[in-house]
Amino acid sequence: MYVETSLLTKRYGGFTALRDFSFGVARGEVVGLLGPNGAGKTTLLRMLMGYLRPSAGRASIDGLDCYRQSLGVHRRVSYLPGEARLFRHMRGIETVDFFTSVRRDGSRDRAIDLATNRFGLDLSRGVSTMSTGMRQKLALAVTLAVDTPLVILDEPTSNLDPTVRADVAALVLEAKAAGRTVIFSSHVISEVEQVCDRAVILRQGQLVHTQVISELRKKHRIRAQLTGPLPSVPESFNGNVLVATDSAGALTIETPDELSGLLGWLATLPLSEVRIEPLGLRSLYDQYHTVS
Amino acid sequence: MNLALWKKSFLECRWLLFGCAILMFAVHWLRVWVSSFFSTSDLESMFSFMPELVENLMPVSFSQVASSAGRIAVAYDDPIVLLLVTVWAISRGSDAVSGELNRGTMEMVLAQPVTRLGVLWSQAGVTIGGAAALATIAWLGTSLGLMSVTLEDPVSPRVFIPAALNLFAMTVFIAGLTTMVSSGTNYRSRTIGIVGGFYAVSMIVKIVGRLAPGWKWLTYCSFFTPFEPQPMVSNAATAWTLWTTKASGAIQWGPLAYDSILIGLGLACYLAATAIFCNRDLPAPL
Repeated sequence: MYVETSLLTKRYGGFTALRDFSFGVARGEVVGLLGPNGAGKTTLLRMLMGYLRPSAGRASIDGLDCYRQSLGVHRRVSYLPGEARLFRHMRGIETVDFFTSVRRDGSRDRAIDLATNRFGLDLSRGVSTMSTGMRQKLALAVTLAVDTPLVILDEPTSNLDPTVRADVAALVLEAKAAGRTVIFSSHVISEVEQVCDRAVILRQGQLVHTQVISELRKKHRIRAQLTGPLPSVPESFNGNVLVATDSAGALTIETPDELSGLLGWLATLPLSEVRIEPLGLRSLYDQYHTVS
Repeated sequence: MNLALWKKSFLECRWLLFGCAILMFAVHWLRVWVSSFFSTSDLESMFSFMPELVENLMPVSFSQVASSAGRIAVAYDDPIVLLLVTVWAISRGSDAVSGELNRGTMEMVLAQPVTRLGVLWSQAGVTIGGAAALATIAWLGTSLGLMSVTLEDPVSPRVFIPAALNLFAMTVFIAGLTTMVSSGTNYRSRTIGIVGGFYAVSMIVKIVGRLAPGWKWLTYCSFFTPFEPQPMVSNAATAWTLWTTKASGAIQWGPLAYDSILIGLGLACYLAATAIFCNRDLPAPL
């Protein structure tokens, strides 16, 4: 595993921000972190960056301890913080110059190309006169211009308009195509579903579910209204499909595998108003974070 | 050494340094110019009307203040000069860690392949360099002032070098102390409040120690005690000594010892700041 945590824990006095968090990210994988505010996503990313000393457990990137060998870790990582704040006394171009000269692998041309052509920024403007979204774009440009094996993005699309959100998703996919590993946290579930190989769901500082997205795409939910009695589920589907009915005759079937095998059986059922939809990450997320 | 960090650190403070430097030069040049309007005898007769209490507050005797060199040396602990070096040292020191954390920029800086040590010491390097520049400009102000006026007792600009060095040492100490506090706090305003309080208490302690009989020991509790630019000018013969021996045989610290104490304490504070900053958790942008 390129990124690995083992029983990683962060406590602040009596409050535990991250508890026994163990996971791994393979080289070239894109992993999304999902969870509401306070779930521990940012704490996890900040511990990977060595900003916080673990209360227990260990985190490593490319075999290097994230806290004790943070310099080596930072040479391998390009990181965009959740609330990226830039130097207000600089102009856009000076910001690019700083971040591309402070590290040897920074590409000034690529940063300028991203900022101006991809994000439409005017780099002659002072950072202090830029809107929050513009500053976020500038921070993204300087972060993504660096050619590191690992990219960590903490809520990269917050403050961005939908067009730029799509650009960011495309950039993440480009990074993946280039063989780079990406970890990014987001509140936008569709974004994670779109670009990630795997989603990790956190709740109250704990990892509660890991979902391979390609497997999730096979899952479907069928909703229908029963017009007659429901026959028993064929034995060949037992254990593979979840079937639920309510007193009003509403039927819900969830399938973890390919839908094609189920369609023949469905055609024999006394159903009306049939709707078939992908199960989606949203449904999975809601299992752990139900809005009360 | 990461040149980009040094450059960023300098660019952040260039206007503050420029402003302080202009004022520093002006105060010292003007002090020489104004001093040229008075004669030593005029001032001696004026001081003769002043109560002894005022002389106790002064770091040198009235007769020394009345001399040409003494009148000019007053500039080195003039309230405006103290304000300038204090503003420089506190604004730079408080910005080192708590300022960057407060603005949220530390996170982006430390995401780069730079060490915390490198970040802190590039900032400290520019701060100490700025302190040296201000002290040099103070001395240049005095020197150019001396070239442009005629005094009744000609004074060599070289006699003011120990005073400028003492001013530099004082600035290094305040900057180091502020950086140490800054390295452990998340808010710049808190850093300034703590150091400002310490500064005020130190000043009061020195004044009380100097005025109140039996309370002289209090002066040893103030960092203002080794800041004595006026005696360093008035006692030019001992200006470059670590210690001197009085007629009674007692040993007295010399100007170089004062400078060493201030610079040494300042550097110790910087080392403490390094230890604190390199081992602390960094909060998310506030």
